[in-house]
Amino acid sequence: MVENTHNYKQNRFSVPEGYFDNLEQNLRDAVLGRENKEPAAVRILKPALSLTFTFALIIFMGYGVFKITDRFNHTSDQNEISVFSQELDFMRPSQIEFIDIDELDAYSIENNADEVYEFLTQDGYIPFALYNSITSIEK
Amino acid sequence: MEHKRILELYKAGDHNQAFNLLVRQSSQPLYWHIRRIVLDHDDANDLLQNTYIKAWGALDTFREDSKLYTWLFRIATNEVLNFLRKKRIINFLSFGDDSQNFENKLASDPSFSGDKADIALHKAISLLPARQKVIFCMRYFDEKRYDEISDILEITEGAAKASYHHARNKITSYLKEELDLGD
Repeated sequence: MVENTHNYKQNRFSVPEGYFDNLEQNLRDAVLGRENKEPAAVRILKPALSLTFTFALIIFMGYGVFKITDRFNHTSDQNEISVFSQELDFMRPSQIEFIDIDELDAYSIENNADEVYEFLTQDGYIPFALYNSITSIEK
Repeated sequence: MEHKRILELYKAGDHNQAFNLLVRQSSQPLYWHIRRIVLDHDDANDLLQNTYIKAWGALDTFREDSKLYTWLFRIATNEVLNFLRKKRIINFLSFGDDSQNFENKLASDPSFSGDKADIALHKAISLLPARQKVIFCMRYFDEKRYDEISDILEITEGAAKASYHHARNKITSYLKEELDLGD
């Protein structure tokens, strides 16, 4: 059993040797040294710069959120476009680049449709839709 | 009055002299005020440094509504309260049980020379809510008057008294249980 007369108030903590002797100098270095390192202009402008940075950050984040939500709003349209473009894949230049335009002069298209058809189908690849679109120009 | 002299020197542009006088007058009481609450020397040293950095940076705005000494204690106490809150959050997030290690940590601290009873007292204090802890230490160890405590914490004297008595009752119960003290 511990006696009630124990002096709880007595300071049982100690500090490293010479701590209080050097404390004044250490605090001066920490506080005044820090003050001297920072130019006066920076100290004056710091609050304004912080405020500007905060506003810029808020605007940037707001813009980001707007762009993200805006993109979500257009997702369905984009899906439709995507499906449509897949359907038209066969019409892309890479698919029809074998057509040599130089040899397809207007005269031959107008007057020699059968020859043109033959020419276009020489690799057996020309889609019928393209043939129809060409012949409809003729009509 | 020393604090008026410090302010005069500061306003006259003799910052070095003002700072030296300020530190000479207040650093040791402030250090012990902080140390008795946070217990660790390095933490106390960091918080003391932060106190002076904040106080010195805001000395221009000191309105002399209270004594400079009271104002410094207020800044130090706020630093301590913030430190305790952060520590509590860190312990919570790391699922650490600080109370389990408390005795071992204090007993193995070479700068602590207390016995089992002292360790139990500090353990009991560590279990108090932050504000009660601060009020108890200011009243019990620093022997501050209630009106001084109420000035520093910007609370009423009644609130300071009530907090101190709650804290004292909790500590007494804890010590009775832990140390098998007689009534």
